[in-house]
Amino acid sequence: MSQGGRLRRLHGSALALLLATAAAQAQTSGAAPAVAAGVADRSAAASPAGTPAAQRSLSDWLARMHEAARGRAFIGTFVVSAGNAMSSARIWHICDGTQQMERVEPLTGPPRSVFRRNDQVVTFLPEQKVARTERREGMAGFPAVLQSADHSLPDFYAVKLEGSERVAGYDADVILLSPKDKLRFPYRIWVEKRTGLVVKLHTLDTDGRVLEQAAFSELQLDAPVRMERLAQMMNATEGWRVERTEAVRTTAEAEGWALRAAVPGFQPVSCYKRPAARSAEARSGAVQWVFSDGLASVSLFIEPFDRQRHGSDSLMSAGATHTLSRRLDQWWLTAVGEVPPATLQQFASGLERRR
Amino acid sequence: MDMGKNHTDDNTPATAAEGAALELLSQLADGQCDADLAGRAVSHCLADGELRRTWVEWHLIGDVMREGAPAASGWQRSGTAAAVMARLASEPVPQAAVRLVTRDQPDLPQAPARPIDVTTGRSAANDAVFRWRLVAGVTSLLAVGSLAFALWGQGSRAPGAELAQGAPAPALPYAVVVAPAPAGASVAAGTPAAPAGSEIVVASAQGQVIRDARLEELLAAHRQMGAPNAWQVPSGFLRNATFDTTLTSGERR
Repeated sequence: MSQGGRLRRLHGSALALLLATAAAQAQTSGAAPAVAAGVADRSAAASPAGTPAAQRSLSDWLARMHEAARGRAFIGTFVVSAGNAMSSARIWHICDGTQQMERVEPLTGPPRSVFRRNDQVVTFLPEQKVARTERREGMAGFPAVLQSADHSLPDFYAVKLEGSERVAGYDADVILLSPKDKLRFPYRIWVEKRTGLVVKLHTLDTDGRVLEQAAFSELQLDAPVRMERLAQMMNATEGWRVERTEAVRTTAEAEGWALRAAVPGFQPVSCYKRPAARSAEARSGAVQWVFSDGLASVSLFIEPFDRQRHGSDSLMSAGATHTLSRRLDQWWLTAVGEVPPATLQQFASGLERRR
Repeated sequence: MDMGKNHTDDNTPATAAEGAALELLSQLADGQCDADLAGRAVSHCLADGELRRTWVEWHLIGDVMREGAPAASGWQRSGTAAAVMARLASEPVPQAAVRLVTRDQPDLPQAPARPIDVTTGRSAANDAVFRWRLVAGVTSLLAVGSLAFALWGQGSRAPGAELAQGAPAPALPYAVVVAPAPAGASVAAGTPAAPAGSEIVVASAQGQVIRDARLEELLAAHRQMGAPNAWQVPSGFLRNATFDTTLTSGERR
């Protein structure tokens, strides 16, 4: 055999391994479902869109952002970073006016594919051959907390148009949402000028430093995405072990919990009794009491105190998400939220057992 | 003759005869055999299942190079890819490969100074064993590269696992600060004080701190059932779905 032939084969082996790896990854993620479909190009949020940017109120901006995704299809690469950690995903989104569907293929971390149809979410975990199904409430409509008569987001946030920038090739308005107290974080948001789609979002700390960033690094608006193809992929659970994550609705009152004093701006929006945890050491479920100010949310998890599992009180941060753990007599509280630690402490101090 | 039973699992021929058969097969693949040699090569293949597997593998490699994913799909279905990956997993990592990946020494990994003659133990520059050992080196290099990429891609998941297993704090990429509990942070009236009079503040440079599997579940539950905000659709959902590495890491522990 010639040396040339041998070298070619060596080179071929290495290259083939690389190609095979890429092919395996392509198989894991599936083929791109984008097929021409002629999605109607609607105008997002008719009335707010007609208002000049400089004159838009906070409510105008929020309605515009929310409506932007409801009549559009897009494909993009989404990047989320917090501290030195970074994750990215390929996104397919489509909405026909009544149904929204999304496909998220994370490009980092363990292999998984996430599909959403309105509030139904299926996560495929190919390594375990598991399809996890769950319902995420409130995904289909405008956040209920913002629609309640006694809620006034402008009492807690001020909006300021800071200028224009290009993000992922699109012109965007840059707005700053500044909290009026120290119980929430500021947000800087890049809103695509024509559609109102949020193309970049910074969660800032109280000193204006970026805690977390989420942005499209590449975006194709009004892309040819076919909803039936996404639905077909989402429903293809045959051969997978389907796990359903169920949480039972309840009320804080029924579970014997109350807040002695409300945390300004935060309203209770839901309460669940979660099933026993998957982790072997957690033998009982927890109550999850959820609060929101319309932009930030806080979950209070309350479970029986277990000396073996629950250590000392702690306060932790990861990007914009803070976690406070604290013993409450015979109970263990874990408060989680994209809020400053002081907010979690206020929740923890106000929580009391009523029976 | 049946040479298959004498082959080692990395295609290294155990005898000179096997090496010659493999060499002949290589010549056939290169189109360098006349009719006589081609006949002998085919005869070897007919008698040796391992040689046939090698032949198919070489052609599949060629298919992958020419056609990409479709060919790779067939390759994967054949189980060859799994065998290769299993081999990669068991392959020891040459130090030279590590140096290449870390760029401490940009020069290529050094091949063995004296390729070994399988029949006599003496060096033979053109021996097939040398080739397959070099392939093993290349595949190990790829394995190291893949591992490095995976660690880079998964960001902070590894430290969390380490912490959950009680890894020493200095190895973790974030600081742990013990601070006095604030005066206003006491528990509700009528309840005893917390067992410890201090709070542990963990500031993460990685953006994701994993304390234990249970806490991970609660964080996932917060992402899942936490109230949607004005940009929850789609940005909030996309943020969670993109960043939700804990969804699977929790189960791996």
